[in-house]
Amino acid sequence: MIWLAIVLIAVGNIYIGSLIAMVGLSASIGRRSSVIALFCMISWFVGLYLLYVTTHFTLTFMQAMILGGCVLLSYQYNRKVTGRGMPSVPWHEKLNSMVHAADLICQRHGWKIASVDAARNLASLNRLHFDGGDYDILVQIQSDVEYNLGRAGDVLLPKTADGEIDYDRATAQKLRTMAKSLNGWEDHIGMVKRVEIDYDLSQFDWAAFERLSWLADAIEQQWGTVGLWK
Amino acid sequence: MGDGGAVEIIPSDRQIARVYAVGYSADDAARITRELQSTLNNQAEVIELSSEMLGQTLPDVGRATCAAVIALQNAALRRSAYLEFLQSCIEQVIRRDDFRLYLLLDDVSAEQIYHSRPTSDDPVEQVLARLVDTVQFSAASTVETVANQVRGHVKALEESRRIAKWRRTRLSIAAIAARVAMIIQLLCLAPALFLVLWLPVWDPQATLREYGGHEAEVAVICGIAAVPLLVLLLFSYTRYGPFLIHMHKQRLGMLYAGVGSVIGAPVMVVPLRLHAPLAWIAVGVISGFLLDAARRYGYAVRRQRHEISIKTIALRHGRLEPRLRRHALPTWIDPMRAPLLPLAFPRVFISYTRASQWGQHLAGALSRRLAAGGAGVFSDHAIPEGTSWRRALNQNLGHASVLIALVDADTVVREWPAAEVEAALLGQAMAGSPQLVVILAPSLPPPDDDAWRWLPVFRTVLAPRDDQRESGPIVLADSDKAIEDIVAALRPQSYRAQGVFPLALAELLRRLWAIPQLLVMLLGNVGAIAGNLVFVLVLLHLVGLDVVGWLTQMRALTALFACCCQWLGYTLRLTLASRFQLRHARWRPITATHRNACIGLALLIAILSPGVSPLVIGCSILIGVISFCVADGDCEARARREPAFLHASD
Repeated sequence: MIWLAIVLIAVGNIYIGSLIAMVGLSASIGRRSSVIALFCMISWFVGLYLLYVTTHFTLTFMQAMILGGCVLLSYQYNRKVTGRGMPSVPWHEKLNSMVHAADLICQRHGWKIASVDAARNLASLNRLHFDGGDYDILVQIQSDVEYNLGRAGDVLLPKTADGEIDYDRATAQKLRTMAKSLNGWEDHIGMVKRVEIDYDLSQFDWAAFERLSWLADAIEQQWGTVGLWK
Repeated sequence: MGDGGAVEIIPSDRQIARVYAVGYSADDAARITRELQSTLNNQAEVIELSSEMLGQTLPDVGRATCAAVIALQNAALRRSAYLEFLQSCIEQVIRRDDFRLYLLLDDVSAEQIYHSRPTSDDPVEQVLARLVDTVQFSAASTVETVANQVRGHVKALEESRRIAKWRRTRLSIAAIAARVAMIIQLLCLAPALFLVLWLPVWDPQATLREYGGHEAEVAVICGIAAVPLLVLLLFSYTRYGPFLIHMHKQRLGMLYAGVGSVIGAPVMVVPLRLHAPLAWIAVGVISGFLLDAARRYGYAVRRQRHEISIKTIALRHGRLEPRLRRHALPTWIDPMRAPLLPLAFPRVFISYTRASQWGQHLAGALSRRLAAGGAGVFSDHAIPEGTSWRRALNQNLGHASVLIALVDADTVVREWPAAEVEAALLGQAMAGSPQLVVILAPSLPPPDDDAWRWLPVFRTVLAPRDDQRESGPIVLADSDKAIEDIVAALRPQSYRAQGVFPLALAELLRRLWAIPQLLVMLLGNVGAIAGNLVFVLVLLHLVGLDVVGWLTQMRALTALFACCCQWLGYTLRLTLASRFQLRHARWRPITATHRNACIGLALLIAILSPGVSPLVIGCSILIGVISFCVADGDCEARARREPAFLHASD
């Protein structure tokens, strides 16, 4: 009987460890967790009941130790394996941070992009120019992983004659790239549509997303594709 | 050792120091040589070198050479041999504490040197950039001023070598001790956990008699293993509150509280449930504290060995490493790495940029006032010409318990002040020190639209926040009251750094320890004499007399054994002090006396040890280690305040 209890408790521990570890992670891990949680809870309470019946205190303590280890290992596993490529915040927050960065840049310069025409007017007046502050906003919204990956591409940043980053062109490029990655291009589905398939994006700021798209199109109109990327 | 009054510096009698005098033309070299010879007055051998001579043979700049005086001329820098010699001198400055490179700027301007780029294709520019990155020099130096500095350096050559050797020795010993302490702790933790899991310590009904027989060993093992965990427990309850409600605010807070509560207490319960002798439990707990303190000191040593560099700092648009970011925000100290007891002596490092008039003025005023108050202060004015300023910066930053950063609009965009502040944050992460204090210039605008130009460390440290904990940076606006407060807080009488133990408890322990400490010092000071006298007992043993039996009969064996261990610990530290730190004409005989005493005591301990019980041996070892630590504290305190000592290392 006691061995059966140990086996059940060990299995239960692994599940409960997974469960507790997942609670601390974002909702983007997956919806299967609730089913796993149910099995976890059942096996866990069975284990505790058996311990209560046998009143073996040493085993109770071992149980606590094993549980602690399982929580730690499962947390690491979920964070590194299941959570690979996932943001540490819910998807809508991640996407909002991107589109709101564009809003912030417009706000800094006093641009009111209420419609596609307003954005086109700014482009036709050659008003869409950026500075280091705009570039910094786009760099700072990146996660640590994105930032570290992006550093490899720093050598490709446009530079001025004195070796400083050409913030005007670099920011324009970044905004255009960001809008493309969210909207998609040619045969590639955009990040927003891709995420929407699996996750609830009701809290995503669709209006700001639209403004970003208009701004990016206006940038392309003002700079021209060749002028922007040369 | 006690005779520290007669201060006399004697030059090394082992070898004549060599100084190179280098000029482009033979006339230049001869002029520098003449000046050096007249100033040095045969205290060192001056070797004249012109660029022609350098082209024929590259001189040796090995250990015998203590300095080089080089006249920098553009024409000379175009000669490869000249450049190669300059390069090898820079190497010596980097590698050796006792080598100085003095520069006399001829037609090379300071701007030309400062604006040299290490990435340039021009080898001259590369070497000049390396020079800027390494050597402390002054554009205003003349042959006469340099000759005087060389004379001072030659006179203090042996001292500077001893200082450097002592620093290396101390750090090495501390690093080894820390590593050994950590291994012992880990080795004890494994069996202690096994005992906790195996024995039903939680079950009040269970009798543990069947597990008896090894109570003494269990007591020591559990004591050593339990102390770090109990320290976590103490930390958790004193920082997170009695109900641990704040534990989630620290990254590993829940782990500290959980491990301390769930494992720490049961580990300590094991020897009590086994009814182990209280003396053995005390030995275990005291050993645990000593080992834990040694392990924590190892982190401080690692911090002292860290070299700061602008290559590793977060540049504009970058971001701080996550562990630095954590310490740039209000936080608690790391209970696994911070010292147990708060440090009592303030060592202040003032960080500023010379580009800022406000910074220069405030740094000067602040260092004068802090020094007058009794604190140890370092600012870059104290770096001697010709030395490696980076080494001086690393050493002083590594020792600092407080870093005061003077921040204005010029500072926030400069890399070296950023590197110093990042080093302070790294020190916090590594060893729980130094405390970062930021003084803001009135002219510095708040972080706004233009803050993207600031380096990330300043943006993070100066970001507005409404939380304040013990280990976060303290940000103050420059005002008379702020300066008054800083000066008052950094007086040695009132200053207490952060430690794991709360201040009130640390203060209580310090007061309780005062009388035993005095006794240890009084007894320890006769160790040198006693150590030489015990040779009589050693000789009697060697000629075949039963010394152990006689002492047992006299009931003096245990007391003498404990005394010998105490004397050995104390005298061993005095031997090191007289070898490396004592500024005295006859430091060698003093060292020999102490060393002989140590040998005598060690021999007697070896002779007596078969006659005493393991408990007495364990207690005596602890007494010896504690005596060593007391002597160490005494030596370092005396080194700070008495001219008879060379310098304090910690």
